[in-house]
Amino acid sequence: MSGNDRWTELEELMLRRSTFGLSPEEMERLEALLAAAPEEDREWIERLIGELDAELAIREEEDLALPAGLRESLLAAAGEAERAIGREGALGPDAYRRRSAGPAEEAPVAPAETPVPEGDPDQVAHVVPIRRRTALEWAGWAAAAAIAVIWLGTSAGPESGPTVEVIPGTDPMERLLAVADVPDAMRIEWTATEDPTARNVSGEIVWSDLVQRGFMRFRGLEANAPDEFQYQLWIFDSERDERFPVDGGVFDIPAGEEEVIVPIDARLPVRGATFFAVTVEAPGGVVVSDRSRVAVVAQGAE
Amino acid sequence: MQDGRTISLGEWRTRRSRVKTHDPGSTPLERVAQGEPGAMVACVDAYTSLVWSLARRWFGQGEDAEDAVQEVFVELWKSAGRFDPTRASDRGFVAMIARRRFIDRRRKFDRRVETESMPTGFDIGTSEHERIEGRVMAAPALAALDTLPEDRREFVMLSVVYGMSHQEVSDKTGAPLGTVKSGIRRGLMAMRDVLTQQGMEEVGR
Repeated sequence: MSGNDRWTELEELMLRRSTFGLSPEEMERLEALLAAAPEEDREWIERLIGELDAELAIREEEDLALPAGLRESLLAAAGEAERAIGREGALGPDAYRRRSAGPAEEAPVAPAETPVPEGDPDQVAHVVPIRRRTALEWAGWAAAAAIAVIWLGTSAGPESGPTVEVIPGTDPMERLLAVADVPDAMRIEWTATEDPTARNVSGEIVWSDLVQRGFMRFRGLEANAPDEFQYQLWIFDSERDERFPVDGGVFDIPAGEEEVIVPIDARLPVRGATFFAVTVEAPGGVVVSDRSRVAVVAQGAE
Repeated sequence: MQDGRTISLGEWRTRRSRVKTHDPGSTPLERVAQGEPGAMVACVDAYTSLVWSLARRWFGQGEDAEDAVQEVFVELWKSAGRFDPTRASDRGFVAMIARRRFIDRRRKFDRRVETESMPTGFDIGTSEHERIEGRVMAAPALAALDTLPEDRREFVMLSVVYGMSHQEVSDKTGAPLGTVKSGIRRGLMAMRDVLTQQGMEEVGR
């Protein structure tokens, strides 16, 4: 077989692979031919067809309606996969540092092994460059309360969620870094209500729609006995009916901690977080909140 | 445009100058490959419509297509590290992975690959070009397709895009089987040459 014949056979097999698929025997033959082919030529037909497919799809995508729930289920699966990967350490602050080795590192970042004084907010604020977004900052009580009243006045309940892990501020930098470096990260200070649990509360919520992660930081929120009541976070999403906020998880505030950081574990994708509320609920949390006790709220983008 | 359908290379060069530039590492695929948190979610956001539109072509509506879409994304997580923006666009790479999965899926379940029957009026007419242009997106492969003689362009579309066998293309067009085979091969090679000439790698820059 001449080189030209071999080349012709290779291209025909590549084309068939991209159109009809190959039998095991044909695949074996293709692999043998590819092994002898220049690296740069190995996938050119598939790449070319891929480009054609992608460009032709443009006209279909504009008018295309996705099946109900498809995007949401894919997003949820992706988010879950990322959380699983994150727990295993493959995704985390180191990944962010590698990525943000350029101009994004506008503030000093302590090495991972640098101990961060527990409960030292100044230290945390110093080493973690959270990007403030003026449009999302510090909503006034009046606005927050107004939204809270609207929410409290609605009758439908949210979906229930998990009990989330509480991490007393022992390693706040890691989690802060992981979310704060995301381009769309929002940071909003809590606004306390008149609920007795929140008389001296301060802190903030940091959330990113992009990575579907965030955390809450509390100082002064009353410690709870989990068998008496628990706190529950609700996330209002501009792309969802406001009667159905996303459950951000049930959590506890341990006694004796100056500062508590609680990771958010939204069970549903949040596309445009606009408002956050922490309620006081029966142990285990609720599926449908009666909204009788709201501890703190945070107003995001309008 | 020359005749309402064909776009000259010069026009494509002009058009491509308007295409947004690519920051290295900025596509969701590259971010997945870098292990960046949020990248998988961004991938779903960016490519679901594309993958779904391709899946519909292969499997129609229904659960089979939805399952195929999920398989494609699983494969994307695994394959993202192989994406090379100097050789392909991110959407082209996604479409390539999707096509592989669809073919595998079809062969696995019924051993017979049949893409959706060719719709009538499949030519890329003026209005379609305008729509694509309106998106200010690069469509260099389509432009390269447009540079082919009409018969070869038809062979490529029927075989590659609509999955017809060489014999079916021959039957449909009336061209001899050998002409169809050589026309497809030469058509693809000519498209590659056009893309190479224009600097296909620029798509990713």
